[in-house]
Amino acid sequence: MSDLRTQLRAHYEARSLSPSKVAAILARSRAEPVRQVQPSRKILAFPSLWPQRPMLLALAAVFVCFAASIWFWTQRPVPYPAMQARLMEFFGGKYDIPMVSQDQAALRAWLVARGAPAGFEVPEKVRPMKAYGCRVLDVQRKEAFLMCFWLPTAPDEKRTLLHMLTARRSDFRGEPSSAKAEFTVRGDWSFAAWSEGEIIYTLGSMVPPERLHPYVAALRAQQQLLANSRTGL
Amino acid sequence: MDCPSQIPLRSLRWLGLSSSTENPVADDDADLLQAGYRYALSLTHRSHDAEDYVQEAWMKLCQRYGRVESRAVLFTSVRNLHIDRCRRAKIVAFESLEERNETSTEAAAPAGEEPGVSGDLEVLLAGLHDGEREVIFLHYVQGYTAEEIGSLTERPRGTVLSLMSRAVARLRARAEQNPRTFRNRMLLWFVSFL
Repeated sequence: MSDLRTQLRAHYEARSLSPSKVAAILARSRAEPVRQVQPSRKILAFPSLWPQRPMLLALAAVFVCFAASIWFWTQRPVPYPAMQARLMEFFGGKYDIPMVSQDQAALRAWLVARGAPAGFEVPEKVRPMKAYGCRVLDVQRKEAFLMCFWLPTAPDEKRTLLHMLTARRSDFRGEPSSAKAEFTVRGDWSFAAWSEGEIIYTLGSMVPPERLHPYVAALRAQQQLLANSRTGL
Repeated sequence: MDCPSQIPLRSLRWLGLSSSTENPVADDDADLLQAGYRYALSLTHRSHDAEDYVQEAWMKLCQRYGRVESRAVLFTSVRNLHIDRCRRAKIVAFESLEERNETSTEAAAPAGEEPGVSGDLEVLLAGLHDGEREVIFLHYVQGYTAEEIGSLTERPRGTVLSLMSRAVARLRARAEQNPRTFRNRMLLWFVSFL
């Protein structure tokens, strides 16, 4: 018995194409013209600008809509009564006044530095009062700027603060739209509110509304004088 | 045959020059055709299919390049045709795990002088898979090394060696089961008994 290599070679060499078949193939191949084959080019598909997965696109659209609605929700004006409610809530418990000073100019500068409208003014009748301090109040993510004064009281009377809130008109809706003060009573608190241009003023204190009248009356007189001067009367 | 990927012709032309048994310059067209036919026969084990393969491959190469450059190019073309037909016919050879386990440890290179097998080689080779017949033909008949066969068939060298040793083992196992061998053994046993 010969080795496997010899056996296999003998086996395969015994099998071959017939000479006529070989001759036919060779003759046919020589008769065939050579086709010039162009070098193949690989065409790469340019990635589509439209995303391939519509589900992802839909999710992205939902997310954008959700974010936009949240943004619009936070940007919308806050109801004006929320400002008064916030003041009552703030002074209802233990409160913190970060800037305590009797210097009204310093308090005003402090508030303006933290975003208060630059044109806001303390009413004329309030200016002689002793200042206590100021802070920025957050009213449903809108800012209101608070200044506190000591109300003049009788010697045997408990000392009470008068609060003046200033805010931008665009941040609140349902606010007093004129220079004429509107009085509101909410529980123990009394409020007088008016607006000048784009600024809303609110005076509030835990006193009857009559106690607020003098400060607002002076304001009304001042407004009247200002209106007369503009019309030239 | 489990259809592997087809091989680009240009990547294997070096085989035609590096094979120890092949000189492409000396190969005339008739010899090339015969070699291609035998290779096709090792793949299909059917003479009609082998004839079709070699004729089609030859014509394609001549139409494209004007001539058949080397034996390796012809083999690659034949092999690609075979793979293509297997894919079209969805022919997939399955190998049982038992068969694989029997020979999975025999991955060493076959010895230079393998003892022969008894029995009809035609029948024995018919029992092998296409890939096994192919490596046996390329190694024992054409004289390619395992590395070269790996490049030609896009298989790692280790896989080629494993395939080769498994093919030889199966060939021997089938030869052992050959009825003529069995009859000879029985006679031997009977004589020794006497």
